[in-house]
Amino acid sequence: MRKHSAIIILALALLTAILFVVDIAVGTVNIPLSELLGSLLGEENGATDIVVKIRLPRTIVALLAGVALSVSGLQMQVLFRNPLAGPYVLGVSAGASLGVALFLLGAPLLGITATTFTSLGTAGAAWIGAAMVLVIVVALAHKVKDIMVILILGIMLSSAVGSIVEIMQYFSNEASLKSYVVWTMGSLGDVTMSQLAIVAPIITIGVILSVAAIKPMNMLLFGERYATSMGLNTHRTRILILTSTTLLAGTITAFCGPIGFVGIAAPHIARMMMRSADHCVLLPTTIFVGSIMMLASDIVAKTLTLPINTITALLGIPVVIYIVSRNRTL
Amino acid sequence: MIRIDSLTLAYNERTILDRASLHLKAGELCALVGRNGAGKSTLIRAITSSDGIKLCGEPLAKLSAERLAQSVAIVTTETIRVANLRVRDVVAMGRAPYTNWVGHLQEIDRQIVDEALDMVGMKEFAERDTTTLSDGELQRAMIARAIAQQTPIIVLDEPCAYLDIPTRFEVCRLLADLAHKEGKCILFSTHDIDSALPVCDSFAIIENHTLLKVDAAKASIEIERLFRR
Repeated sequence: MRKHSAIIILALALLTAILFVVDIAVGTVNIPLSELLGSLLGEENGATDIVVKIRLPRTIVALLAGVALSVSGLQMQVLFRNPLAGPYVLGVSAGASLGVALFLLGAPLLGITATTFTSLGTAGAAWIGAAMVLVIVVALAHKVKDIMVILILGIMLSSAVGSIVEIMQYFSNEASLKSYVVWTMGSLGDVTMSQLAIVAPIITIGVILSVAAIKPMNMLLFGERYATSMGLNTHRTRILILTSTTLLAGTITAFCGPIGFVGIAAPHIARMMMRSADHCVLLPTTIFVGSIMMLASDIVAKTLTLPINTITALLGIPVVIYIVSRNRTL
Repeated sequence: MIRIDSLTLAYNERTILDRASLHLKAGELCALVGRNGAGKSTLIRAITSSDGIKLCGEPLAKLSAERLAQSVAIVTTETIRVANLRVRDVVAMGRAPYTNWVGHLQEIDRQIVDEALDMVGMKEFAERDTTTLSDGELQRAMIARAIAQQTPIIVLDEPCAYLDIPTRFEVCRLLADLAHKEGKCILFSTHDIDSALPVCDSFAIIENHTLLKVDAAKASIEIERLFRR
């Protein structure tokens, strides 16, 4: 890694740390900095309950969401050699929304109230939906030769699932419809500490898999044919990247709802900053850029009490427009 | 080096090559010619994927992905233009079969990359972004990548396509140097007989699903006999 890359990554890490603390500090109740830092360091004071039980989990979720979405976006852009690919191109969010729709809209429609299905919770239903999409996509990835076919199938799958969800919405009552729409707006605050104990390890596994994909991603910049000729097992790489992406994007979508644009924008910002195509450099940069985007969005969302998805969209869309207007290749 | 014995290639029901045989030795430069759709690219592709082929004396089916990557390097017609990807990075990727799990380059790898850049005359372009290169420059970078892969065999699918006349001669001369000075076995498909004739040792001609190998000295007569109507 060149010296200036290391300096940028260090600066991004520092900014992430600062925003992490700021995000905890921001909220409806004003907490003095000394009390805030005190309770973070394990001191018992008046703010401990709010800081440790409410704000810290939310901020950790924001950080994990930033990491997960940006890494899966990076992986999808490389795998499909498409600058506009993101964590949701495979239909991960569509699968998750189908799970949630079945749970929030379908179950009341069928008159199911207290069964094993409803005890899954929104997150469980979303995770199963996302995982089912993974199973379909991975099964296809084994058979299909051209990676573009998988991209098209992912988009078609998303649209088909979207239609099914709309049908369910059409027939649903107002109350269940509202809970579904609220889920689609995304929320970082609904994850409890015990759920975090599930989310954090899954995201860690997803990130470890993406680290294992650094060299394969560099090789995939040349396309699958060249990559194979240089010794890459492209089938195994597809499975590795698809699994990592579903663990990352699927889990975050299950617990926080679909959060748009961070996954598409963060890798491009990383490329612009680093002026490099080496994923040894791009992966850590993307991770920090994604975290910064999510933490900053959460700070704004909390200040204005708006859903997180609206903020990430407004932050991410200018980047996407910039990419399209510059017609950037990867 | 490359040994193809009685290879039949078919696409769905359509036979492309019928019981084709081709033997190429180290230091030999062979041009593969034929009509559009005759099966040149299919044959080139088969060299790295078809089980009936022997490379460096070993059946392809027995070679691991890593050994195969250390035996054959390919150059395709695909143009690789990626933002922020420098010429040096392209050539360095040729070291992928030899580097560790993150692709870390050792001093020896860097030296090999520099030599490959020098060999194709791209040393001054090393730090250039691939999006700023002309087709000819990019083709030379891709050939340098194949050189850096340090394989005894290189196969190229139409390396002269999209290139202007002087650059075609230049690329053919470069391939001849690699074959005759470095002892590599090189097979490349082309439609440009003029630039291939002065440098090639042999020609492989595909016509009517059959593969015919002729010496360069007889190539021009044979090509004329087969293709002139």
